[in-house]
Amino acid sequence: MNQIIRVNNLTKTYKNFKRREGVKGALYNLFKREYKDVYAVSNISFTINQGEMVGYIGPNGAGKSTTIKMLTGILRPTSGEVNVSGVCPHKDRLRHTQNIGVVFGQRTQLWWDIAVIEAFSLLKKIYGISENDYTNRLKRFSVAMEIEGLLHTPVRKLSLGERMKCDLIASLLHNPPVVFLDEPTIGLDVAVKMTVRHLIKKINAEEKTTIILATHDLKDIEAICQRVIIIDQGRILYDGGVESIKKNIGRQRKLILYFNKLPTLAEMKTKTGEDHIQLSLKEQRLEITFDRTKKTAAALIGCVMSHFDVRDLEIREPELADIVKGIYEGKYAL
Amino acid sequence: MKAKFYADIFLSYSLQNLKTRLAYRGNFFFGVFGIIIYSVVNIGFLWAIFSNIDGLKGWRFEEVLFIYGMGQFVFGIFSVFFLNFAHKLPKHYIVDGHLDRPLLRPLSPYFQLILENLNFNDLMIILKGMIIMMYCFHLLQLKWHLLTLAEILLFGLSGALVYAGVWVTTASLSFWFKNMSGFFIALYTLNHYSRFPITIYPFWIRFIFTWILPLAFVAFFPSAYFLPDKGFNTTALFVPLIGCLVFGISLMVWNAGLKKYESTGT
Repeated sequence: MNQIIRVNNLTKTYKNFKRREGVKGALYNLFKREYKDVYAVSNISFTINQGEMVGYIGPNGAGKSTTIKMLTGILRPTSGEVNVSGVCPHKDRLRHTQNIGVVFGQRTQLWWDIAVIEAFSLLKKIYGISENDYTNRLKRFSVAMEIEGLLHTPVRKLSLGERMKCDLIASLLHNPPVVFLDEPTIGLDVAVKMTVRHLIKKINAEEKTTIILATHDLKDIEAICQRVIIIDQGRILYDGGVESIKKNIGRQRKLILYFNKLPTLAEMKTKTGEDHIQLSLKEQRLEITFDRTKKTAAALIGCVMSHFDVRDLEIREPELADIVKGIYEGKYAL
Repeated sequence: MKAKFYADIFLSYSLQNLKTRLAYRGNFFFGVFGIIIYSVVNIGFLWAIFSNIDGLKGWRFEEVLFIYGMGQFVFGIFSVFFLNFAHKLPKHYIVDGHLDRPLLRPLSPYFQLILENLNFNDLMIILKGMIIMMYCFHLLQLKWHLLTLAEILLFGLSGALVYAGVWVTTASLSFWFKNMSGFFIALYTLNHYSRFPITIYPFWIRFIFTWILPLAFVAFFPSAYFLPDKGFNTTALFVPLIGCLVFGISLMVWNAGLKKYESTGT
């Protein structure tokens, strides 16, 4: 496999000066400052193959944006190596920009004062896209994103969802081998989110485009990525498959049982041998949390059915969001 | 080749931008209305002062008005290209981080910032300055030739470089000192006073306007060049030089600032 992104011992430190309290402290700050190094990103390494779709997640201030900025060439690393499609981003920024597409959900890359189609055709000039490629891609993307009717609208008049669709298209027009998406679905409604996810998957399937997706929305990750990198306090906590997070880390499944006549908690505990049982009187139901590696759902259900009169039941798999929250909180030893 | 590439992008963007702007006619008329009110107040003040005095150390109303017209002409040229850019650099681009975006395109970030912040409404200020200057040429019964037009254009462009240099340098200091917007108010005030004949000021103010913040090269020296017996008929020849110098310094500060941005993010 062709490694398109290589990150080796990447570190970024900022100098923060210690602020002193009060008026006297503030005056003192003016003249003498003590600095201390803050590690935004600390010695991280990973590689990404061409055509991979990788989620990059972490709580606020974890070092996500800092990493993305170093990969896109906006920020110079303090130490370590970065290589994206054969180019060192911060050393050869101009060449690097031809190889990447970037979407920031929080800010547009289109120009406020001109119409969408004019912005696209300006990008065509800037990136030197051939007439043929431009026409083809524009047509394909605008059909997929359903924005044909918006092409002549000034960017400032677009709604957030419309703008996001156009932004995504703008980042793909020059057919970059690597695309960075920083919170591309923030603030969007469900329908637009689906359209955006759909285009990302489509472009990946058709062009083998490598996708790096930084987000807080784990539904994005589940819908798009096979692999996820979790970062916190500048260090990588987890790097691996999305499915294997659920299997290996989120071992806690839930069995939810509905009864006509609710048994007591003590009864249930002795019969099943499970400890984590919750009772909800209102809905006449019991929730048993159990470890998938210790007991199968079939065994547990069989045991319950043989002792109690169950009206209905369901099994809930762990939500990625809950597992990741657990990881951030340090619940799991990784 | 590269120049042609940039010129092409500049032209297509400006044309589109103008097109969108003209679509909002209301904005355009309000803009013109604002400029008229502003001018009436400014010129009215000048006129009120001069109707009470015989002259200002040998300077008559028409002559001071001429300096004002020249100042507006130059400021207009500067404003179309650099004013919004300079004003938005500290907060919008540096503090809020919108400078990230231009860094992600295969184009000079400086060029992109000018492009994104073109201010075509202020073309009207250039026009206004030209009308005032023409009127003063008429009042003062000065002769003009084709060469005069070329000279005014040269002064206009070099003066705009002085303005650009001063404003962009100030704005670029925000790369180190966060938000420098407050300094713009000071610059405006100084700019206002630099449009009077500097001979009315004490030595130290003249010194500042000539050597420290060379705003006298924007309007005063070029105007004096056209007025016969004022004694500054050659100083204006240095205007292009000063323009290039001040602008060059601002580019250096900008470049250093950009390096700083790349290493800290803000």
